Amino acid sequence: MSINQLFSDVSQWAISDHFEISCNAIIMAAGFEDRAFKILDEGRFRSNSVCILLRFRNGVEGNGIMFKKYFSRASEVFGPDNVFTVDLPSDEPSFLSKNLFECLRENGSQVNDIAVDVSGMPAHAICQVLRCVREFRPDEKQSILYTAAKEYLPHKRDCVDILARKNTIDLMPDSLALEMSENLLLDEFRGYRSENARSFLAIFAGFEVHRSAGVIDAINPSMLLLMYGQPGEKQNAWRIELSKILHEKFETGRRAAKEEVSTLQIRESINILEEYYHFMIDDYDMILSPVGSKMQTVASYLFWEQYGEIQLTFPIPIGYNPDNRPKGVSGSYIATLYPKSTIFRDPAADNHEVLEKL
Amino acid sequence: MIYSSQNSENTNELIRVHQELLDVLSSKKVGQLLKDFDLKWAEKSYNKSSKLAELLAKFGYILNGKVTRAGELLLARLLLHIDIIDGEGLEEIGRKYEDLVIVAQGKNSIVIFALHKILKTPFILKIIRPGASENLEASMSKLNQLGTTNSIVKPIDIFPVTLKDGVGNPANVMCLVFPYIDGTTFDQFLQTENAYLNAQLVMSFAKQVGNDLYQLEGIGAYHGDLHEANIIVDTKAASEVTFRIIDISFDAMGSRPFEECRNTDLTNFKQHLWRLLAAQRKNVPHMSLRKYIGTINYLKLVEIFSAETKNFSDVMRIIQGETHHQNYISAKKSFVDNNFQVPKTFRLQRYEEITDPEVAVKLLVPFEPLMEKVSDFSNVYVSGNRGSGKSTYLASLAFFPGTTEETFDFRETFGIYFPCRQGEFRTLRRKSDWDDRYSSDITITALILKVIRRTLELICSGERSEKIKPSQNTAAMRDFVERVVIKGPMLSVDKKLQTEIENLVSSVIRAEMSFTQNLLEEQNSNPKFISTSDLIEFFHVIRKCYEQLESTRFHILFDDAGSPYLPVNIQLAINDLILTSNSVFCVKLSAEKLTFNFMSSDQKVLENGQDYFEHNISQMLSTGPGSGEIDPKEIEKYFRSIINVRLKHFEYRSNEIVDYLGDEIISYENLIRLLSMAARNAYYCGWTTIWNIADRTPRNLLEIVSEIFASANVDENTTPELIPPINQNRAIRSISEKRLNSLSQIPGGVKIGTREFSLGRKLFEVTSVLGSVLRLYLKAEKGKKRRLQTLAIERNDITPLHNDAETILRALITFGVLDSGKLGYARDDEVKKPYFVLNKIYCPAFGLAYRRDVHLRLSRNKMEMLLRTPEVFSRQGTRRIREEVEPPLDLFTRRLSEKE
Repeated sequence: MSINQLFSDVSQWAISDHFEISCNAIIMAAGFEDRAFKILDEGRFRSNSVCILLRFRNGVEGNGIMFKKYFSRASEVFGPDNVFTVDLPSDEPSFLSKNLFECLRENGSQVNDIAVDVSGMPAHAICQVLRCVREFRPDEKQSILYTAAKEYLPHKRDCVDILARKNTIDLMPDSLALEMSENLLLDEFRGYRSENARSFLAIFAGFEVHRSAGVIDAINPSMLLLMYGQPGEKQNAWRIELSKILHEKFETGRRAAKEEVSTLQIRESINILEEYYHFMIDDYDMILSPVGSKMQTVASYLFWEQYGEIQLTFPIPIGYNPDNRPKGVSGSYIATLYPKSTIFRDPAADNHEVLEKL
Repeated sequence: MIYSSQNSENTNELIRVHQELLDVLSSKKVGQLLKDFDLKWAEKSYNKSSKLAELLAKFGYILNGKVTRAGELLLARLLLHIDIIDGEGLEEIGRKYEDLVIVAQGKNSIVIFALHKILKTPFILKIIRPGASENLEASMSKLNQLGTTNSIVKPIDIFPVTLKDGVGNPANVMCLVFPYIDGTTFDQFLQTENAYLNAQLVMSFAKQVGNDLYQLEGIGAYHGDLHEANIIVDTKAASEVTFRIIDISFDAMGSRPFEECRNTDLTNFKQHLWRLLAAQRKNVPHMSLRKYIGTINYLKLVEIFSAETKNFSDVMRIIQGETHHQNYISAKKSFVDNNFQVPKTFRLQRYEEITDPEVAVKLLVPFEPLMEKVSDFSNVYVSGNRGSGKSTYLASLAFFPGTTEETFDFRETFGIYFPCRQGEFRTLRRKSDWDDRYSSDITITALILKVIRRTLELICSGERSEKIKPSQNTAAMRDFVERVVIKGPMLSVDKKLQTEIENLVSSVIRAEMSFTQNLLEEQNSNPKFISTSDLIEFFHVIRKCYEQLESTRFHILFDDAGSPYLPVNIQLAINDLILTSNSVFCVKLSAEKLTFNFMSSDQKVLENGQDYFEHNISQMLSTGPGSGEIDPKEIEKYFRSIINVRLKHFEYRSNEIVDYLGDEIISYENLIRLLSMAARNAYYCGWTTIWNIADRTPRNLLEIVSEIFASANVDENTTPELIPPINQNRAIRSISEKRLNSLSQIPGGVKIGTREFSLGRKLFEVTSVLGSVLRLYLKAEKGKKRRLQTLAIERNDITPLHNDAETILRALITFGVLDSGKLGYARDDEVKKPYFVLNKIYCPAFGLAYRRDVHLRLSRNKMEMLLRTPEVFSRQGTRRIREEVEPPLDLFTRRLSEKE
C-alpha cells in the first residue's frame, strides 16, 4: 500500500468571501496568530456541526483573552452547545491526546466528517490530533485546513549580516518560539530502537536553529538529513538560503544530506522521506523532527502512520513570544486524508490530483 | 488489493444476463420442471419438449440438442444431494467406510468425512458432480507425477459411485479418497491470539506453498480451490511450521477454463500472503512490515504482489532470486555516497567517532589506571566533564559484532550497550496512576526485556559475523523465552529462512513491543512481571548454550544514563539491578554530574564504594593542588600519547606533537604577565599551555590541536615545524569562544522567581559574567611581582543557597562549566568548604591564565546574585575591585539579556 494513497494534494481555496466547510466537526487551536482565526471567522459550516477548540494552558500572556475571542465566535457560529474545549497543558503536552479522545467519545457519536485546522497548532499538537481523529474514525476521510500568514519572521532586513555570512551565532533571528526547553517524545510516537544503536535524524529545518540544535544534541545522530522549506514565492528565496546558513554548522560534525521541499505540498515531503527511508532503514533507526512548516508536520504524521518504527520528536521551546508571531492572513488551503483503514480507501486515490474545490 | 471492483462488476453482469433462468430455478415449480425434464445421466438424454429444455437451450446449456458440460454440472447441482442420515445411494461407499459425515456440499463436489471400516482411520471422500470434471482418472494419474516432497495432499483412491438424483434417476459419479489431515486451518491459525507470528513466517509460507503450487503448475495442473480452510497449519512439528494443502480440485472445477483456475490459485496465494502480513502487522503495532520482515523479504513480496507476477514459476524465481537484493544494496551504497556529504577533515579527529561509539572505541587511548578500574567486574559509575571520554570508556567494554578488533575479549567481558540519549527509555516513564510497587515491577520488567532482547540481538549479529559459533543446543534458550518472556509456545520456520537465534530475537522483539504497548495504553491490567532473578537465569542459560560464552561475564552498559535521557523510575530500576549482587552480570553507567539518582525502588540510597564505584575521569586526571595521587608528569604523558597515537594513525610526518606546537614558547609567568597587561602578544601557544587548557578533556585537546592544524594548513604531508604562536593563539581562542557561545544553546528552562528563562542563555550569562570578573581580578595583578590567577569561586559561609541559585549552580556543574569535585580549607575560617573551578577551556575566551592560584570568595548573597542575576553582580558585586583598578576597565562587553 503506497503512502501516497493516504492523502490528496494540497489545493488552494478559490478566492471568495466565504468558505464552505463540508465537515460536521472542526478541530482548531485558539492560537494567537491572526491566520488561526480565519476559518472560524469566515467559514460557513453545516448546521449542527461541532467545534472542538484547543485551549493553550501555558504562561503566555494574553492566551486567556485570545481563547475567549475564539470561544465567543465559535458559540455564534456553532451554537454554545456545539462548542467543546480541550486543554493543551504546556507542562503535560501528552494530555492533549487523552483529553481529545475523551471529548470525541463523549460528544462525537454523530461526528464522522472531521476537519482539522492546523494553522494555530504546534507540531506536537498537530500529530496528536491527527492520530486521535484517525483512530476515532479510521473508516472516514479527514480534511486538513491551513491558512498562511502574510508576514513571517525573520525579516530580510534583520538578517543582512547572516546572509552575508558575517555572523551565524550571535545574531540569530528573532522567532516566535523562545529557546529550546526539551525534546518532547510522546508515547505514541516513540518508534522502535533496534540493536544497532545508530540513528538517522531527519529534520524539517526552519529558522529556529536552537530547536534544531537541541534535537541534534539530544539524538547525536550518525546520519543527518536537513530538509529546508522551499517557499512558494520567488521573492522569498532568501529565506531558504538563510535557513541553510543557520544550519550549516550541523553539517560539519557528521554525514549530512540536504534537500529542499515545499513548505506546503505534503507529497513532496513524503516522497523525500520515502526515498531516504528506503535506503536507510535497514542500517539506522530513523527519527523525524518536524521543526518546519505546518504541512510538513502533517507529512511527518502520515509518514509515521505508515512506518510506526520511526520516532517523532518535538523540540519544545520554553515559551513563545507573541510579538514575533506570523502576522496577517493570506490564502487558505485544504488537503484530504483518506481513511486510515485500507478497505475504505479508494484504490484510485493514488492518481488523484486536486480532489476538492470549495 | 484484496478485493477487485472489476470482479464484482462481472458478477453483477452475469446475474443480469441470467436473471430469467435464475428466477425460474429459484421458483417453487423448479421441482416439477426437473421432473418433466427427466434427465437420464448415463445417456445424457432428456425430454426435449419440456419447458426446462427450452430454457436451458436459450442460455446455452443445451447445444445442438446435447446437454453441455456446464449444463450437466448445473443440473447436478440442482438434482444431486446427499442426506447421510438415510444413506440412500451410498451403498458403494458404505462397503468400505462407515460413520459418514457430510463436511460440505459444494458447487462441484460433495465432501464427506468417513472412517475406514477395517483400518478405523479417517478419510475424506470427495464425490465429484457430473460435469465438474473432464477426465478425472487421467487428471489423477497426472497428479501422481508430483514428487513425494510435495506437501499437497493427493487422492489415494478413486472409485465410481451410483447415486439417485432428486427425481429418482441413477447417476454415476466418481469418488476420490484423500487421507484425513488433522490440524488448524490457515484461517483459524491467523485468528489464534498470541500465535506469536514469526517475522519470517510469511516467507516460509510463500516458499512452502509457492513451491507446491509451482510443482503443480509444472505438471500442467492446478489446485482450483485454495481457500483458507484448505491449508492446514501444523505448528507442532519439531523443526518448523508446515503448511499442507488439502482438497485439491484439479479437473473438478466444472467448465471454468484451465487458465482461470490457475490464476485463481495465484490470486488466492497472494491473498493468503496478504492475510498473513496483516495478522503480523496487528501484532507489531510500532513497526512497519518492511522493518519487521526485513528489506530482502519485503522487496520480494512487493514483486510477488505486482501484476507482473503471473504464475508460480515467477513466484519461485522471485523467492529464490538474489538479483533484486543485490541491486538494492548497490543502489543504497550509491545513494548514501551521493547524498550524504562526508564532513571536511577534522585533522586528528574522525567525524564518526562523535556519532558512532564503535569508531570511538577504535581510536581510544585509554588511561590505563582508569581503564582497569572501569573494566573490573563490578558496578561502576563513570563520571567526568563533557568530552572526557565517559561514553568511550563504557563503549570499550561493549560487544560490537561488526568490529574486527576489540578492546576486551567477549569470551570474558560481554558488554551490552545502551545509548540512553537516543530516547529508548524515555517513554517508559512512570505514569501518574501507578503506585510505587506497580511502577517498580513494571519498570524492571520493561528494563529486563530490553536487556534480554539486546543480548539476543548481539549474539545473533555475532553469529552472522561469525564471531560467535552458533549454538548446537538452543533448547534451554527456547524454553526460557517461551516460559519467561513470551509465556507461550514459539513457532519455527525453515532454518534456511531463519535460524533459531533469529527466531528467538524476533519473538522477544514482539513480546517487548506488545508489553510496552499494553503498558502505555493501560490495557495490561494484570501483566506478568519479570524479575532480576529471571535475568540471572537468562544469562546462565546463555552461558550454557554458547560454548564461547560459558565463562563470560555480562556488563550491562547504560551510556548517558542521567536525566533527561532516563526517567527517574528507570534510574531506580537500574539501581535495583545494581543491588542484585551476583556473579554473572554487573551494571555500568555514565552520566553527567548530578543527573543520576542512586536510589533503589524501595528507597535505599546506594553507597559509593559499597554498592557501586564512581570513577571520575576529570578528577583522576587532575593536576592542581590537592589533586589525585597520580604524578602530573604521567598525566602529561598520557595526553601527549593521545595526540601522538593519532599522528601515527593518520600518518603525519612526525608522531611527536611538540614538533608542531613547540613548548614553553611563552612561559606561564610571561603569559600571565602579558594577560594581566592585556597585551596584544599574550599568545596561548605551546604544548604545555594547550594540554592544560584542554582541562583533562581529550575531546577539547583534539579539537584545539585540530583547529590549530587547520588554521596553519598542517596536514599529514606537511614538514613538521613550529606553527607560529599567533596562529596557535587564534585557533585556541576560537575554540574557547565557540565553547562559550555553545552554552547558550543548551536546551531546557529554569525558573527564577515566577519567570521561566532559557537554561542555556542563563548559563551563558553566568559564565560570561564570571569569566569577565575573573579577568578583572587578573588585571588588578598588573605590575605585581607575582601575579595570581583567580580561577575558582569559594563560598565564605555554609548556609544553603536559594533553590533557584542552587539549580543554576548544579546545571553549571552538570554542563562542565564549573568543576565541583573539590573541598578546601577556606582562608577566612579554616572550615573545609566546596569550591568551584572554572573549566580552563573558557580561559582563552576571557584572557585568563590557566593556573588556579586564588579563589573568589563569595557570601551566600553574592553567590546568589551571581547565579540568579549575573548582570547585577557584574555591576554591584565588583565595585570595589573596579575602583581599585586603574585605568577603568572595559568590562562586560558581552551581550547580556536585557529582559532582567
